[in-house]
Amino acid sequence: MTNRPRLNTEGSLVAGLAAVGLFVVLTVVFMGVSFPAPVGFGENAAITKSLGAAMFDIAPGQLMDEGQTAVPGEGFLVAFLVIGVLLDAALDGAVMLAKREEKGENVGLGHDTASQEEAAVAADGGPGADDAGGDES
Amino acid sequence: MIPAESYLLLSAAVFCIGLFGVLTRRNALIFLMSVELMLNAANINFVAFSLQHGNLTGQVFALFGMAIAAAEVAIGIGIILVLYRNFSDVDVTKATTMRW
Repeated sequence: MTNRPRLNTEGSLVAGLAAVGLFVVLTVVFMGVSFPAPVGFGENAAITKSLGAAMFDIAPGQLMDEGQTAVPGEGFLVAFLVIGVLLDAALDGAVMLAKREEKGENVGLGHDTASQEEAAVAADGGPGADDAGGDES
Repeated sequence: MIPAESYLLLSAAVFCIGLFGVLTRRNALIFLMSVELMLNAANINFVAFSLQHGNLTGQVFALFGMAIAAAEVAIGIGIILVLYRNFSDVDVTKATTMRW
């Protein structure tokens, strides 16, 4: 029996035609518009420093070295803190979802894990192995 | 300097690849990766228009977008884990009902 990788033909590709069609439409639209030349940031712009200043809502002029120019931006300190809380909540949610169920504790949304664990033990020849059967003589 | 239209085309291509994955694939992990592609397409637009307008706001928004994507992946992988535990599969079409 071969075990080589095979082309994944799951599902239908017809629905994907919508994505291809959307790309064609977007391409036609983008080719039809013309934007003015980009303003850019200038030669000596300290982009990373300015980003840090925008994130922590401090005046970028304080961070600039000699010859560096600040890039204009807004303060995002509150948004930064809110995103931090969101990431913390997401981490807690991920840990809660990934937590493996303890024996007898109903953690997994209506799943009786206790019987599953016993069945697995029985299949391995543990308690209840007589009922579970097996291929040993 | 690269014109904004090129960035828009790149962004549209990345977004449509992600959309193609969402529409055609059933594996939840590939589904999640496709959604990430769509989020990254938005980030490309943010950075491109930041350059276009000479303002850093777009780049800051792109950073926030990455943080949102990270939070989404954390929750998404947790959901996929529960999906696998309950259905022994990561096929998104299997979990079509809310009953167990």
